[in-house]
Amino acid sequence: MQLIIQIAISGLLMGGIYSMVSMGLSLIYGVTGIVNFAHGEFLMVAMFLTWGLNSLLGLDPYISVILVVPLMFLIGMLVEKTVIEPIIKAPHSMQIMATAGLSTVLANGALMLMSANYRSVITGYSSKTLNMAGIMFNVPKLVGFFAAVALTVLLALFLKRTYTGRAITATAQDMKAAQLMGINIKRIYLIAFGLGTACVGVAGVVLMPMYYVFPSLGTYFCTTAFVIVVLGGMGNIYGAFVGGLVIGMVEAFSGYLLAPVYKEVVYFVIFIIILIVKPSGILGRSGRAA
Amino acid sequence: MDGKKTKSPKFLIKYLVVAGAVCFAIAYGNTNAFFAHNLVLIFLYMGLSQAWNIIGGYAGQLSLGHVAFFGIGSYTSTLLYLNYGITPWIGALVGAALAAVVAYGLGWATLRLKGAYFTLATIAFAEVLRILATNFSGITKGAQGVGIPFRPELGNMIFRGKTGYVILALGFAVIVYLVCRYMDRTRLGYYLAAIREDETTSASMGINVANNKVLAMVLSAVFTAIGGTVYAQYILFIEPASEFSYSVSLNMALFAIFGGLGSLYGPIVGAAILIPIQEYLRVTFGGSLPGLHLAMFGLVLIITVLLMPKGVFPTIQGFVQGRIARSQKKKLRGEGSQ
Amino acid sequence: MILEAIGVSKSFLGLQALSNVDIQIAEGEIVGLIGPNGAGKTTLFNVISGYLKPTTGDVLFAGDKVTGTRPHRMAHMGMARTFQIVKPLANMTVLENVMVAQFMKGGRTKEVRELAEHVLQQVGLYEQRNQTAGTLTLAGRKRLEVARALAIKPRLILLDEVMAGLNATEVQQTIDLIHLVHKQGITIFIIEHIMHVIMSLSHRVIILNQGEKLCEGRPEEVINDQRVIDAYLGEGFSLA
Repeated sequence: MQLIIQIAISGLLMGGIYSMVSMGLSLIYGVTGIVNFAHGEFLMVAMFLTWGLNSLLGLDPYISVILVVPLMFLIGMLVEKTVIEPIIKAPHSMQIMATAGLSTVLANGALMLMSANYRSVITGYSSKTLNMAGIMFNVPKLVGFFAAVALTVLLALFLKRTYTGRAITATAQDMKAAQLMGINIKRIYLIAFGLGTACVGVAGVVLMPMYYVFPSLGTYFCTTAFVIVVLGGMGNIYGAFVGGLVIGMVEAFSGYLLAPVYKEVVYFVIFIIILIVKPSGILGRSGRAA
Repeated sequence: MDGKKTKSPKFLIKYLVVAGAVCFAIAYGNTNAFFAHNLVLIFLYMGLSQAWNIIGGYAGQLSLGHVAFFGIGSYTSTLLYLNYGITPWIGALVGAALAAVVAYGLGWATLRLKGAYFTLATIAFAEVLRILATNFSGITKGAQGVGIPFRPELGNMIFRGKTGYVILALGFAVIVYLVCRYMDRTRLGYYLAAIREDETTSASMGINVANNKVLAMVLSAVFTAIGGTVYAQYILFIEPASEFSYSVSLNMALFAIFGGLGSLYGPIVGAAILIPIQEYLRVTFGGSLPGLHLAMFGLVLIITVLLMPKGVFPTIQGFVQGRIARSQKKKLRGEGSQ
Repeated sequence: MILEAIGVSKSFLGLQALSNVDIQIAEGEIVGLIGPNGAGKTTLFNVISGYLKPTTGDVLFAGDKVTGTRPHRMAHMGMARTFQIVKPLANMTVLENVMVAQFMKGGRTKEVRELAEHVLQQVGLYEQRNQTAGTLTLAGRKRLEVARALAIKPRLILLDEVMAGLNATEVQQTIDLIHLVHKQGITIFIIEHIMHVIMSLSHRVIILNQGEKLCEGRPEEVINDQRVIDAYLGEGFSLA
């Protein structure tokens, strides 16, 4: 029993990290209708930024969040302006190819600049664990989980309480109506893309103390994030949060019951089944909404 | 979709020029191994990209998991050859048949998926196969891969020197081209294009949308699998990381999109232009700047989508036709004023 | 009877779009289907042509039960339809649009092309055959819908508002076109908002209101029916 709880807990904690990665993807899709195939590479970029700030300036990863997140926000807006905005009305196939191209550029650009080496940031708390009633809590994972909860709450508050947030929600629900209400759609797309990328920034920061960064890391997280977003319903950020936790658990249990290598097979199979049975997601509303 | 049959001598000359250029290239390749290597890859990818174009271009279902069929082809023929001594010529057909069955299942399963959902499902599917190929090491030898012993003989589909492979890959490209050309000009080509445009309208015209989409997937998979066998016989080594590599899927799509999505000449033009650039960059900078050639490719892909969404070939074609039309108009106006 | 609907009902998540609709159309008739917005006209067409399955009730085509038969099968059986919101294959040429439909009747590409060109001459789109369908005017696109429907050599054609948005000249041309189609022995079932069109074209008119058949009869009978006037006036329409 203790073992099962332990597995569930570590799955849940890892799920929190997945949630953060997926929320950005879901937000971007919900507002702009773009499925960003380069989303995983954004995570990789954020982790390299965190790593760079640590090795150059000696910044603790958790402190570097104040630099990494705004940087990622800017990077997201830059990408939106140069690559996404021109194709916002293009056919799906063109949008997919553009973001797939972007993912190739980022992953291989990183390979050119950083080489294929795995890099990590070792901190005092990297391998620290808390023991509560015999259940082990890995500290960085615990921080990640609470960061995920905090991010979800903050994002929800932002979308509900601020003018910009409500404009984003309105755009996601009905772009044309929002436009008629005088909302500057181009600006909303820009902000939403930046925001989605900034979410990945948070994920990158909290991942760095417990994980490696390497140029092809994006592919792994991107596919996981897609599974989660499809599970939670494309464009539904709360769905992404819950979906992340579910996939974290699925991964932990299938890793234990089968073998760790098959965990991907398990959730890809889940993924394909969901896509076939209910493409709008288990928790999802159909259509796009934030 | 230019079904007008012109049998003028001018048309014949075009064929002769192409045939002459290919013969010359093969002859030159005989003396220059790097050039020949490029030819093999160009022809192989012409065929692969053409095969991808059936589902990705004509039917408008953007697959980024076609490497799954490529891998099925290369693993099937290789394992049959090594374990049972079955010649890859037969192995290629068995691989194609297996890919057809898998594509049939995948086609039905993903029938209702549109846009990015379809793309995601195909990526996931290829990933599953890669993981399985890595972990069923009893059959596939896992991540360490399988080498094919070098026994050059036509019956083994193994050749001494590169010229044999150039001709093999050329043959593959020509077969896929001819099948696609036939498709382009007959009912299936028109039906797939109609389905890409609007499924509801297509159904109102008596088109069985589901069957035609699955058929496109199967056709596409069959030729992709044969391409996988050709590649395995050329490299003489297969491993999950390269046989199920995402970049193969991406390349197939890229060449077709760069050349012209859903156009018969698109994949040919795309592979002919981009493979040499890719190989040059890989060989020149592969050591010092790994990833440069792929990064360039991503860039080419983005730029193509942003600047010439119809691809190079239709863009140039449109430009030339525009010029011709304008000069003809001028002529007409000139005659009118006389 | 070429077409019969027997007690057809359709509900979407509790919303009753059609309730217990009975329809009979004889071979060679031109029957108009009118009714206020939201009356369920297009839903009825969708049920008849196989795009929607009725919740209850049956559809008979040429005496055979075809309830829930998929749209492409219906096309093969000889039922053609146009769409209220025109759906051209926008990136294909006008000729290719019609060729796609013409392929249903089999034949080699060359013959198919010739037959399609013939259809385009009939509907008056031959000159525009090499234009992409997306570049046609609205009137052109509506004609293209009719051309595609004709190409499958149907026995019955369902026309869904082929005149909405057209100017007076274009409307008259379309009326002529429908007469031409009818002369080929094709039965016509037409939804139309423009009342004088329905009056001049139809042998018989069926009125649908809130998913129910209100009444049916000869055009001049129907417009004087108090129930019809009420239904329309409720919607702010005036008749004739």
